[in-house]
Amino acid sequence: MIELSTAAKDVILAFADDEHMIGSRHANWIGLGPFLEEDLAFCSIAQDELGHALALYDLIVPSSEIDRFALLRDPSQYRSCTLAELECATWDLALVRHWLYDTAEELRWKNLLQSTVPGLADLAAQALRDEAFHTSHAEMFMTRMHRDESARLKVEAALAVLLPAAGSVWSPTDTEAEAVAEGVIAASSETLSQQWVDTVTTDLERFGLAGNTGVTLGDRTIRSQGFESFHTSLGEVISLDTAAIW
Amino acid sequence: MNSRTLTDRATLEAVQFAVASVHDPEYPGVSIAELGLVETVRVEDSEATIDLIPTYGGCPALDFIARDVRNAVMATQAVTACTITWLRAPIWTPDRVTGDVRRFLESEFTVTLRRSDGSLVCPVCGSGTVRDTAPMGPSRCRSLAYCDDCRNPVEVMR
Ligand SMILES: [Zn+2]
Repeated sequence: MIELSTAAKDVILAFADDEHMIGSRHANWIGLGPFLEEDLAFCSIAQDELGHALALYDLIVPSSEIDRFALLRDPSQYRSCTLAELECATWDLALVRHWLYDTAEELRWKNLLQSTVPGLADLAAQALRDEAFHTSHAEMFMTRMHRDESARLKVEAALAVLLPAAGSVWSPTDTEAEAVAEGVIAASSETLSQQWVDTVTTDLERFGLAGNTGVTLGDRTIRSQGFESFHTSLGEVISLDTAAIW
Repeated sequence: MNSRTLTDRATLEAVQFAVASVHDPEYPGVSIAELGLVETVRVEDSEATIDLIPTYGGCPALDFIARDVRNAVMATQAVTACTITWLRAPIWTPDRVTGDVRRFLESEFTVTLRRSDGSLVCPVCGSGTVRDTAPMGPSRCRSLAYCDDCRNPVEVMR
């Protein structure tokens, strides 16, 4: 493993935890999607996000410890954002969150394309190949939702719930200024969040959907409501035998 | 040419042959070499070093493929050790799949690959009027398209 600065590790950890949480939340739709194709689509997207999380953890944790690190840390040690952690119990919420999150995720990977952290730029280039499919999948649904009145109302209700929490994805790490100075990331979260608001606002107009965009930052050191039970369920299998090699 | 060079070359060829014999778990009958997953095979001091490229980072088959490669290489008894690394760069793209295998994938799995100009050709009827319908297909590495001529759904390896 390479020696990294605290600022670099903080940025990677926050992104890795976001990817881990969103991937695990998406995976909840296995067998429960509204129709088979969406069941499979959410599985595939979940698999990608968990793959991204694994590759990011791999930069900051010894390979043999990744599972335990990812699943068995104390909740206070996670640095994921509320948007990624939230339980989306209905598919309209899950779909809208997928769109909001992946729109942000694409910007975050692009922000790593010139990263000074060895291996991170290559990883970003690879992840962006996946992201093109994720964003086009999300958009395919979002562009069609205004055509049917009941669908539009559901999506707008989901937007009303999620937009206030969505800005949490831009909550910076404590050491972000150093990460920018060291070239770990090209631009600050604040700069990216403005690009994201512009994109989301333009897209909503294009989709014919109403929603108020803005950014309310969260605190990555505080876990959102419902995290504890989710965390327990994530660790259930590994806790059966913590010494086992999976 | 001295004997040492000959032996080294024979060893390398044995290892290369072993690596090439490993099939992809998702496409039985297609080797990982034909899919473009093998980047380099080296042998030095009786130790093999093999660099592989994943089709995508989160592929759950990576451990299985690495295990199969190691087993195949060690079974040659030509080397004493085998180190396998999954590279992050270069990135796998469908261009890495060789031409003959493209035809095999089309006939055996009705899975097609995008041409280098981005176009699609129907693996069933050969028509060029294939349009993308869904970015996420039946598995992580396939998207869905539809042939307007023969009215068959088409899976695209991505
Ligand atoms: Zn056809």
